[in-house]
Amino acid sequence: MAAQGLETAQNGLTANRRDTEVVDALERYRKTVYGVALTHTNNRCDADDVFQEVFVAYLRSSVDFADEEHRKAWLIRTTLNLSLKLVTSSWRSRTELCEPGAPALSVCDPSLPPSDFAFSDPRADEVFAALRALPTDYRITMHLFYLEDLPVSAIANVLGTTEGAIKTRLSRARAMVRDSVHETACNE
Amino acid sequence: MSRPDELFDDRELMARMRDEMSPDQRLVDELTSKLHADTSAAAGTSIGAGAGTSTGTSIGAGAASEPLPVSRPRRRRRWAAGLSVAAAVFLVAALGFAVLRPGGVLSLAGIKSPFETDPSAQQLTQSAAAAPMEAVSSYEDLYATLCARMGVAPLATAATWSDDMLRSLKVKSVPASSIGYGDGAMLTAPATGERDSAAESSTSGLDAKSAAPTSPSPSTDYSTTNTQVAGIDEADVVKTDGDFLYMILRGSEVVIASADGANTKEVSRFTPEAPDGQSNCGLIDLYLSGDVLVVMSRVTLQVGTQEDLNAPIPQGGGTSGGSLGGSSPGYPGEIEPAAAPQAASATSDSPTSSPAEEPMASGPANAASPTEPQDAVAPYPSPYYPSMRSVTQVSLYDVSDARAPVLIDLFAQDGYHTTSRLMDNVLYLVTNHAPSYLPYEVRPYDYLPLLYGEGCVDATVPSQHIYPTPGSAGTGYTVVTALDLKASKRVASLTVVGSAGTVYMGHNNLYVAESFYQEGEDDFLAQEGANRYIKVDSSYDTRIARIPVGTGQLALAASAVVPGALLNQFSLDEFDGHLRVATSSTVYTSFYILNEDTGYRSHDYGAQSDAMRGAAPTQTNALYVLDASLAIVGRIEGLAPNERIYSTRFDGDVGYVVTFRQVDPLFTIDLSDPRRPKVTNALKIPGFSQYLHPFGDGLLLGIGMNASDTGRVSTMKLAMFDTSDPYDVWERDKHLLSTTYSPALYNHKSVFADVEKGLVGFPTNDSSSARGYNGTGLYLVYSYRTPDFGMNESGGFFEKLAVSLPLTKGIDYGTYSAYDDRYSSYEYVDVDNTRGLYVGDSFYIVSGDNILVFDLASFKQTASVKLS
Repeated sequence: MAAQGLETAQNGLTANRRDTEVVDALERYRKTVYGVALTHTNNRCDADDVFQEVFVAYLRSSVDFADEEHRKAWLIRTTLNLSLKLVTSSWRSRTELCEPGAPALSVCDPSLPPSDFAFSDPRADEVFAALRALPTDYRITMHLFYLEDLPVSAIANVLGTTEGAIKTRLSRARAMVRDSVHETACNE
Repeated sequence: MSRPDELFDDRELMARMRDEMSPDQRLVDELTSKLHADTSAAAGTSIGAGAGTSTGTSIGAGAASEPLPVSRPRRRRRWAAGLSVAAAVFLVAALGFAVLRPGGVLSLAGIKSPFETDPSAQQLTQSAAAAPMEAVSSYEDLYATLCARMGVAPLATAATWSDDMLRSLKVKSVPASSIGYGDGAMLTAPATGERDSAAESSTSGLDAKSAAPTSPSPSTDYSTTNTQVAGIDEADVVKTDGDFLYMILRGSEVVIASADGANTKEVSRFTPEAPDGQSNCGLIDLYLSGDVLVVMSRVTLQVGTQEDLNAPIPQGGGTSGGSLGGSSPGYPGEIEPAAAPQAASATSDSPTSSPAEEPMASGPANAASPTEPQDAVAPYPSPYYPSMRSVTQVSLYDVSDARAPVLIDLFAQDGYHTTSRLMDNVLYLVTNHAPSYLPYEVRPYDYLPLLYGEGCVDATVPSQHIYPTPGSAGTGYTVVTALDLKASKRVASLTVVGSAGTVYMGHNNLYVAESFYQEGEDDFLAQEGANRYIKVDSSYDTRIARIPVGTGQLALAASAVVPGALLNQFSLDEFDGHLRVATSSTVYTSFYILNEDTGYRSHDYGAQSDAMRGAAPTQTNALYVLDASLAIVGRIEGLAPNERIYSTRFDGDVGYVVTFRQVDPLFTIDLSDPRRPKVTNALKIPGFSQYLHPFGDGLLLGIGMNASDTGRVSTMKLAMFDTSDPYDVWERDKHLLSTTYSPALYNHKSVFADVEKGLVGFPTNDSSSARGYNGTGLYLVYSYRTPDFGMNESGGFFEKLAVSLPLTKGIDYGTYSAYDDRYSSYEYVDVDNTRGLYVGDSFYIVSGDNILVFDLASFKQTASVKLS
């Protein structure tokens, strides 16, 4: 299989990486990527789509990863970008959702309602809902800090901003979560 | 139920969640095969080109090639969903702004949105700045001005007097039946002034320095009164110098206690004297300046010649105690037989006169004929009667040995205590005095503002420093003096003829502000015969006078008028050569019928009630930036229409203004360019802050009330605002209390705030009914911590102390029981005068006759001292 240069494959795809590398990443980061996708898309269906696209994109990309952290950061960012792109396009045409027979291999069931992902623990549902109610910047930051357990420095690196900004986002997001439910609970 | 944000702290929950967020295995399998298929299909894939990692590639470069999520513009989350009223009003802004006086100086055309300032409107408002106030040319001029304002003709007798004559006047303190202390609390004082033994020894002049050690281990770190401006002290009922606590007890005594942690105890107490040596019990406030303890108190004095002091005190005047600000002995026809007043004068210290002397004869002769028709031309009352004046006294004590304070000197000035400041060892005292003068006879010292030394009149205010406010009908005096505490000398004095409502002092100037009622022009509505139907808009404006300080003299440098009224001293702030002023303005519309034949105007109640039905007076707020001549150079007007200001705080280049009607916009105002102040952020949250306190880097503490979305005020609330980005101020943390009242809402001195230690403390009243009386009180201390995400710590307010305030014994001086030889007492919680402070390792709460001591680190109680 060793050959110099890139050649277009029969099905039009260009692969730059060994499949094993990508599959390795898939194994390592499946929950990370899927989690981010789930939190940032509207339903399981879309999350599935994004999940696949990320690794396909990885396969096709030519980025030189310096280390594992770099790779993880790239994967997270790509997942986020693709999620947002999908959500935006979903707004425009809901009928595009989950077309069986499309190139995607998702096991989607078009009868599932949006935000259909449910946890076994209702508190987790609450956390999930709270996250999804946040604007993107805050949502991804909270997700990476609390669900992915990344340190502030790593999150800053992933999202391309300062540690201070990340800390601020965390404070604000928590305040938002606290207050948005608090308001309704206070029955005012 | 736990708060949703707290769920994030549950690490196990988070881990389980993440575990569940997993793709379906079938999906993964299918994707895996697809990836293999792609790869094998691309048979010509070069493994080298890209798959290998190159350590030379920087992460940054890789990162930069990926598009980052678009950062949405930061929008403050709407806390109160559906609250369109306040928001709509706010956004519509000054277009609906209606602070208009018909033909007045503010024109709607010049005002756009609250976020812009219109330079063309500046010229209009400039003309509203009054010409600088001019001093009177002479005392005769002053007298003439007063008479003109009163609408009476000046009498010739007023003119002649001399400094010597003034200094020869006698001064006698009068027992008053009700005197207050602190800034607002009222207590009663003894009916007779008895010499206090401590006061006697303090005037004996003995050298009180003893060989005994004067203090426990000296502590260097202690808290000071919570003042508006750093470096300028404000008087308070409790002070400390790190070794001792000095406090006013029951408004009648000064008590000194050692600040010794668990061993705290009283070391001495005394009662300051009045200028004539009588005991004086209306204590107001304290200052500490080095070794000098300054005690301010209220005295009522009789001032006059010896004959005056011997004369009966006319009824209908001064004997009704609490005649604050002087008294007018009334008009002809009101005088009573001399019998009763003579009894009072018999107790006076008149060594020479006896009732048989001739000057006295005319007194009783006039008075003893109540049935005679009163002759308006006859000299009434007797020319001899004392001028009664309410006076504020400043006593200086040497407390280098706290166990034996020594009186150094004593000063007093006419007027009811308004406020004071201490800067660079100079005490600036502001009092309000109502001169007593008669239409029939007047002596110079009836209308002159007097300054007193020990037992005598010292001087009067120089005429070149007496300024009548132009266009005003007010006849009260605002007396300002500067007292050098080191030299024990009064160095300067000044009087404004008007009444000072708000006083603010910055490092360079003292500002005295007076709000006055202003009417616009008549707005013609209709004419019916001789009746002209008009409406008139009126509002309150504020005149501000600037008095430079620190120069060794007091003179008025500039004055101006700004529209609207001030909330309190925090509405003014001097910074970088400019004065920033925040005002609230309410425009009232009144309907009148003007009868053109008689010239009289009467209320048109019909039209008034028609107009009033459902309509509230127009209200708006503004911020002005004034230069040294107090001309307006920058402004924001039409801020939060139909709301009023609840608190203001200026902090260098930034100003924060809280208004409220249903929600609380906290306005952040950029003041870095005095000519172009601009609102950078308006944060809408329920409730409002009544006191704002900058709390370190990018933080602002707010103490206030919580309220529902519809504006229904509930309980108290602490809020910490993040002000690091002036364009995006938000509420970082908040804490709701169950109480509805604390003096902290109205009196900043009752707040203990230490930014370095991250602590805030204040007293509250636990009951929703009476303010402290027979209710329970609590002293609360909170620490505030910003979250440390590196350590995975959340932040917020944490309660460190919530201690019940003990009862204090109050003495009812109006209920002397001769049988028991004592006054009746009662018990109450002195919430308003409770103060919290720290000295060294201990935190002290002084509440009435109690001192509670706690360890500053743990807030465990270490002592409880009861003062007798």
